[in-house]
Amino acid sequence: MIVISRRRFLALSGGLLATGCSATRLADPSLLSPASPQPSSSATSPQITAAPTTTPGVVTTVSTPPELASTAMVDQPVLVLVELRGGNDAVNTLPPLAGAYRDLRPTLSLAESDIVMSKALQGHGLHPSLSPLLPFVENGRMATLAGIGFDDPNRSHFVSMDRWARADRLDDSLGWLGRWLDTLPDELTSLGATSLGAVGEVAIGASKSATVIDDVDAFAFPSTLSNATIRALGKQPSDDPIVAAAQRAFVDSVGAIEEFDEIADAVRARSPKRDVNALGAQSGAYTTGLAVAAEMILGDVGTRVVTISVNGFDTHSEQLETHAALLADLANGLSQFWATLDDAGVSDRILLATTSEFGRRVAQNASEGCDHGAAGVSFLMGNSVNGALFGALDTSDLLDGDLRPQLDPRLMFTACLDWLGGDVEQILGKRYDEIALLK
Amino acid sequence: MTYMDRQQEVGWLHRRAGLGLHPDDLKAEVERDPNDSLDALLASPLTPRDIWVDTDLDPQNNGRATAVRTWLGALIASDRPFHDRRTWMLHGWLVSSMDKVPNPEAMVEQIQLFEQSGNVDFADLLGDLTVNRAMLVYLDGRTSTAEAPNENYGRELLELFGLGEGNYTEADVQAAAVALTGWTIDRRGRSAKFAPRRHDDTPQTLLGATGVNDVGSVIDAVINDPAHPGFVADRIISEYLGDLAGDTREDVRSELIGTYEATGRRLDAVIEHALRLGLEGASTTVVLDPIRWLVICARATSVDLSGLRRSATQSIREMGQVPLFPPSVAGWPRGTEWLTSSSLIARTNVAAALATATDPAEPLRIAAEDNDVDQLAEHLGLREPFGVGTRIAIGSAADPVGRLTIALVCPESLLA
Repeated sequence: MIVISRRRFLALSGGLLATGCSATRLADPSLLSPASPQPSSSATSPQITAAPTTTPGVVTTVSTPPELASTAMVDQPVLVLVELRGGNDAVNTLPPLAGAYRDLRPTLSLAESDIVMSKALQGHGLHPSLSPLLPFVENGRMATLAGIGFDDPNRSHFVSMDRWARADRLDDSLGWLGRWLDTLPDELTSLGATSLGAVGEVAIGASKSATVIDDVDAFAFPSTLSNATIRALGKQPSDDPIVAAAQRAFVDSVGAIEEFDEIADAVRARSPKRDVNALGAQSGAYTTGLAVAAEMILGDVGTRVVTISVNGFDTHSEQLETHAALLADLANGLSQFWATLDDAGVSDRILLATTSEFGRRVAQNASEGCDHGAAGVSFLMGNSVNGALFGALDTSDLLDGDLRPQLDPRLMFTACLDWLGGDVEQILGKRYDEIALLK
Repeated sequence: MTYMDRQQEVGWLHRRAGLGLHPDDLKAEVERDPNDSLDALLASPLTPRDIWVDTDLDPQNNGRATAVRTWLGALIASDRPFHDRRTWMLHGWLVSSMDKVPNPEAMVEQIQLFEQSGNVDFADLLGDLTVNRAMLVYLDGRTSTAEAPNENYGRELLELFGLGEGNYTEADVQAAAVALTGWTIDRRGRSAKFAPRRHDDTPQTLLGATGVNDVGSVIDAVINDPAHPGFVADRIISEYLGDLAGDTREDVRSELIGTYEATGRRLDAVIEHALRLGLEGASTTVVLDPIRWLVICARATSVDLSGLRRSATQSIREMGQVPLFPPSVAGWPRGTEWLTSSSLIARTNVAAALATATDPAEPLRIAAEDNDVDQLAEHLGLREPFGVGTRIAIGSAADPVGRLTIALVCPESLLA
């Protein structure tokens, strides 16, 4: 494989400019930190410029300051949606400091001394694995939505996932972000909406859906086939809708690959454990996915929406260790993600939200785990969020043993759609803005 | 009335309800005395077979990978494709996964249960599954006790295995969980066992049935629920006939429910009936999941997967489906959910590896050499010749390997 630098792909990316997509802004050199390994290809390309401060063999590039960024695409707001699949245990994520928490979880509650404390969380703490998020809480860059969930909760994973993905419009198989994608007047780039790790149901639209990338290393067709050959498979769409869907999928894949090639080397260099495919509680999935998301944002490939899905939160048994590892991966990934974007001076463009289909039962079961529950917790991160705690995890007023929903997820979806400039009423039926989550 | 000619019929049956055929076998089957090609497919295997004999499944010796390889190899070499394909369906429906079940032997035991389940009462299958040791681990039955029943298995039994969402209440989930308490795994992890002291014997009301307090009565309540037969019929329709709509769907559904009930809930009988209706036209195009597609391609080209390079094995994994490792209790994605960029790209890389490894004397490779587009489609058992797009793509490929790659992965070949 020919490894090219960021600067080299600039030279190759004239086509992108022609389609209104900017490739003029380069990332900060710190993105390719001296620690990040890079195949020793620096000798193969005359275009590569090695920065004087880096160690030999490490490729880096000269940056253009962010203020020189010019075309419209650069300033478009971006939404990153992080899915905690399986039903994240809200009570141990955001332990309530008072109430029945400890009584209901004799062996599963967190030691008081381990809980990360912040006045901003008003009577709640943070799981110790989430300590990297403390600065965000304290600096007002993170809103915590405690007790988020739809009324009349359902404990089925699949019903609840559908409700979250479709903003509770179960008669409509499209995701709420997919409905937004459908409203965009301009053709989205192939990476304009991208799902990392799994199909993001939330970003399935009627006319546009997210491109799914499992593994950044494997995102290339065999070298023996030209892109034109693959693209030909889409010629003269069949009358059979399934055949036509497969034809279209090949054409879309070529487009995605052509765009991904623009940022592929930077992404591959930066993703620590490069397989984002998250089967089970594969460690590092969030760190990897969020690193890829950061690189896509910095690579200016027209990305507006990224979803990152990781399984493993369905902790019916032996929860403590699994949950701690998952949250640590999430928190480390988030902290690195924001550090990267802060360094590049682009974090003002980004809003990030976490979702999970439900929280877990407050009382533990006999398997050192918890069964499916109702309300959960979400985080909304960014420089424009109203960084406060909303709602509460109230263990004194349970609904059939579960946290009672008190914040409609559509409050968060409204904020996300406002951020993207979407027509909230059209997409959600009405605005849910009783709480101002954005400044 | 004949809906398909014999070539189409054999190809359709084997791609959809079997595991595909080598072109020589396809030709022989088409030319055979005009017996019913469905009967031939359904015929019970003459000899017993144990694909797991002499395999070392010890997790310390990489037994998990051995289990995956062994099963995949057996699917490709299968002499009972109808039965193996039904076993594969059950694995994706009544799900356990080595993600959570560390012992490959336990997973293999569950697959063997599925192998023997086509011609038994589905109630017996669900009963055996409930106390199957991989399932007791996967959905936490083993740690469910009278003091603190674990709802995981009870819920999925109702939602995913027996009835479908909307056909039970939360109270039913809890009743099932309580009634199934006490089933666990012996200390050495070798077998399921019942520990009376962990069991809550209090009679429960489940789905309207009273006195439910053990496996048998739980399964009876599920099986006797009016929603159950239709739930099974829907699953068989979506697996074997596709996305039927309107009156066709209603007619097929009620016929399959009738067969299910009349045969004492025998799955193979229901599938057979579905296929007869499919041969008469009650079917829509379906997307092959990655493993069935791979098996069909490997059988058609006589490629031995164990000879492929490491990068090809990696691509197989990246198609998004590893046997014995379903990603969640709902199994793998279905239908057009498989048409993602990631999965298609991986399949194309796998197709290239298979095409490269295909012996030059193989019929498909010869057809690719001759640039005979219609012969390629016929050898693959496709019902129709390739469409315009695929013809252009094959024509634009640089060499026979490129042409065969496209023939294996083109939209028509991803479908059945």
